[in-house]
Amino acid sequence: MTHAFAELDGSTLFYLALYVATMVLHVVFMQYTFAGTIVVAVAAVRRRFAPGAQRDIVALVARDWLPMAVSAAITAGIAPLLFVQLVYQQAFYTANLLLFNRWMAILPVLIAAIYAMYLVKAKHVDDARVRFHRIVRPAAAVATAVLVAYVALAFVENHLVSLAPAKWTEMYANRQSMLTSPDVWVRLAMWAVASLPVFAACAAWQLRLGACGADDADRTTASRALAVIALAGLVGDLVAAAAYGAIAPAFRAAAQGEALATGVALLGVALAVFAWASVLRARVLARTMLVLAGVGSLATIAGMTVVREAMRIAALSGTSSAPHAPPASGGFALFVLFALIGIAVIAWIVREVARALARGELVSDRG
Amino acid sequence: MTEPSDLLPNLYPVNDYGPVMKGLAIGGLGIFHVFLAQFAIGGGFLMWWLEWLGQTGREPLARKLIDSVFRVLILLSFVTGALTGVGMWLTSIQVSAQTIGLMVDSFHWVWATEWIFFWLEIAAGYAFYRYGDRLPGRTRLALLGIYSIAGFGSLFWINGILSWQLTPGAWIANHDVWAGFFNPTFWPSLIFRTIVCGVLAALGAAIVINAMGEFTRAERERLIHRISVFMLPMIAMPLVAAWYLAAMPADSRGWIMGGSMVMTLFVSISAGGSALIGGYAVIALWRQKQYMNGATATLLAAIAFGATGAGEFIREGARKPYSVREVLFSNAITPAQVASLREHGVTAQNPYPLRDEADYPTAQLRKGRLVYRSLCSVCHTISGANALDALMGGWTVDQKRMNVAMLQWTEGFMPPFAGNAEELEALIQYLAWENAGRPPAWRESNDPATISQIKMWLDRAGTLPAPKAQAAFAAEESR
Repeated sequence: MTHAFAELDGSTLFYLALYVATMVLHVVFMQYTFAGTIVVAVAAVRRRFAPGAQRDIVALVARDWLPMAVSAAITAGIAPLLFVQLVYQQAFYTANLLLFNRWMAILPVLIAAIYAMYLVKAKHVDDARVRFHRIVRPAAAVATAVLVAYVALAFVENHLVSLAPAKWTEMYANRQSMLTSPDVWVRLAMWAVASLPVFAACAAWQLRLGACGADDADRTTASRALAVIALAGLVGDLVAAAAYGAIAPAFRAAAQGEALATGVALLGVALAVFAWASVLRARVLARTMLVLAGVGSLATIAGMTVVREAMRIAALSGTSSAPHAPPASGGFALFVLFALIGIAVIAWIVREVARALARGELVSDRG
Repeated sequence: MTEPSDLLPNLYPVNDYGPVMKGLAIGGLGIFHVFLAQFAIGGGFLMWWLEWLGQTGREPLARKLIDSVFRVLILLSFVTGALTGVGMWLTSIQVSAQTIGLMVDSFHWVWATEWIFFWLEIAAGYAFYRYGDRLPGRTRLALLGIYSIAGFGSLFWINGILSWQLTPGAWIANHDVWAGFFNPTFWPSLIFRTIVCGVLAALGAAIVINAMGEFTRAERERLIHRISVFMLPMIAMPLVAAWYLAAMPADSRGWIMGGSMVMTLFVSISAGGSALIGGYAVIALWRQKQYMNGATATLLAAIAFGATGAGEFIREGARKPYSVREVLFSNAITPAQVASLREHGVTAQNPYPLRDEADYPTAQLRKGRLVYRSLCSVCHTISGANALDALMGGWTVDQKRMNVAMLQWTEGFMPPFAGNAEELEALIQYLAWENAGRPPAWRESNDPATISQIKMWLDRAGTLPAPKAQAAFAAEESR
C-alpha cells in the first residue's frame, strides 16, 4: 500500500481491510447476478424469435441459479454496508440522503427483480402455456436485467456522490443529480463488462460440476460461449478502464499511486485472458484453466477494489468526511468465533450436498 | 466514547416528506419486516419439529407439509424479508442518520456477528430447498436445525441492539458493549418476540394447510392441531409483558399506561389482538379441538399483523423524547449539545440551505423554516401527519412562544428546545405564516421585549429533558 493508505492509522486500515475483503466477496456474487441477468435476457429474447434454436445451457444455468446468487449477493453485501458506515459514515450517509428516492428505489426494484427471476425460471409452466413461453418469460427476463442494471446505476451514482463533498451543498440546494456526468456511465460500463468474466468463471465451474444435468456435449458448446463472453468482458474492461482514466484524473492518479494493486488487477486480467483463450482453443472446461480464470478474476476484483478505495481516500482526505475508524467496541472475539463456526458449518453443508451429488442422487430442478 | 457530542447537529441534508411523517416510513417498513422475519424464524422451528415428527413416524403427513411451507418461507423471507431488512438500515439513514450511526458505531461487532447468522440461514435454507427432497433424513433434520438456530440468532442479536435504544442500562456509564446488549429489557423483549415467532409460524402454516388441495379434511384437521402447539406459549404473554413493563423506565411506562392516550390505545390494540389470538388458540384449538379454516387463519394473521404493528409503535414511541435513551434525542441532538445550541443557535452552522428560499418573504421566515427542518421535521409535518398546525393551532401566539420554549414541560415526551430565543421566535412566525396560507408579505417580529421574554422562558425550562428537569426543579424548590 502506498500514498493514499499511508496516512491512515492502523485501526482505520484494519476496518478498511475488512471492508475491502467483504466487498470482494460481495462483488463476486453481484457480478454473477449482473451478467447472469443479461445472459438470461439475451437468451430469452433469442428463443422468443427463434423457437427452434438449440438449448442454451449457459442461460439455463444462470436462470436456475440467479435467485440464489442474488440472495448471496444481498447477504454478502451486508458486511461492506456495515464497514462503509464505520469508515466513511458521513460521506456514505450524505450520499444516501442526497439521492433520496432514487437511492431508496433500489429496494422495491430489487424485490421486483428477484420475483421476476423466479418467474423466469418457473418450471411448472414450461410446457403448459405457450403464452408464458412466448411473452411472459422473455418480458420477465428483460425486466430483470433492466431492474438489476438500475440497482447498479444507483450504487455507482451513490458512490460518486459520496466522493464529492464540495458539491453536496449545491446538489442539495438544486436537487442536482450526477446522472449527467459521464463518470457515472463509464463506471457503470466498467462494472457491466467486468461482470462478464466473473460470471463466465462461475458458470463454467457450475457446468463442470453438472449443474442443470449438463453433459459433455453441453460443456463443449458452453466452453466456446463462456470463453467468448469472458474475453469480450476482459477486453471491454480494459477499454472502459482506459476511457475512465481519460476522463477521470483521480482514477488515473489512484491507479498510478497504487501500483501494486493496479499490477495485481492487470495480472488478473492477463491470467484470465490466457485461461479463456486456452478454453476457446481446446473447447474444454479444463480444471487448471478454470482455476486460472477464477484466480485472475479475483485478483482483478481485489486490485480494482483497492484502487477504488485509494480514489475515495484521496477525494475525502482533508475534509470532515475523511475516513476514520469507529470508536472501540467490544465483540470482535465473538465475531471471529462465530465466523469460524459459520465457515465450518457452511463447509459441512456443502460437503453433505456434494456427497449426495457424488452418489448421483441429485439433479437440481428448482431453487 | 461513542456519544456523538463532537458532531455538529444538522450535519446531514434533510429531505422533505411532504404530508408524510418520517416515522411512518420507518415504522411502516419496520412492521412489515418484523412480521415477515418473525414468521420466518418461527417457521424454521416449526419445520424442524414437523420433520422430527415425520422421521420418527409420529406424523406421516409432515413431509408433504414441510415442502409446501418451506417454499413459502423461502419466497417470502429470502426475498422480501431480506430486502426489507436492508431497507430498514437504509430507511434509518434517511430518517435519522445520527441515530443509526451511533448504533452502528456502538454495536458493529454484534452486527457483524449477525451477518454470519444470515449466511448460515441462506446456506442451510437453500440447501434444504434445492436438495432437501433427496437428502437423507439426518441431513434434512440438521439443515432445518441450522436454519432455525441461525434465524433465531439473528433475532437474538438485533434484539439486543433495539432494546438498548430504550434501556441502555449500565452502558450509559461504562459504554461496555455487553452492558448495553444485555440491557434491562433484553430478556423480556426476546422472550416476547420468540413467542410471537411461534404464533406467526403456526398461523402461516394453517393458511398453507388450508390452501393445499392434497389433504383431506381429516388430515388438515390433524395437522392444524399439531401446529397449534406453537401458539400455546401465548399463555405466558401477560407475564412477559408485565416483566417488560417493569423493566422500562418509569416515564416511558407512564406514557403507555395512560399518560399518552395514543400510546395507551396502541397498547390496548396489541394486548387485545394478542388476547384474541391466544384465547382462540387455547380454548378453541387446544381444549375444544376445533378446526381452523383458511379464512379464520387469515383473519387471525391479520390481527397478529395489527398487534405486531401496535407493539412496534409502542416500542418506538416509548423511547420519546429520545431515539437512544439518555444519549440522543429524537431530533438527533445530544443532551450535551442542547446547552451549546441555546447559545449559538441551531441554524448558524447548517451547511444545507433551503431549497425554496425564494418562497419565503422574510429572512426570519427562512430561519424559522430552517429551525423547523432541523428540530421538528423528524417527527412532525406542517399540515400532514402529526401536524404542527393541528397541534398548536389552538394556542395564542404567546402560548406558542412559552410552550415551545418550555417544550419538555409542555409535553414530557418532547425534547428541550435546542435553539436560541431569536430562532424560537422565527419558528413561531414561520408556523403562523404557514397557518395563514403562506401570504406573499409577512411582518418581521423583532420586538426586544418578546425576545427577552422567550429567553426567560428558555432559561426557566433549562436544557434537561422532562424527568431530570422536574427533579432538578423539585430540588431547587425544596431548597
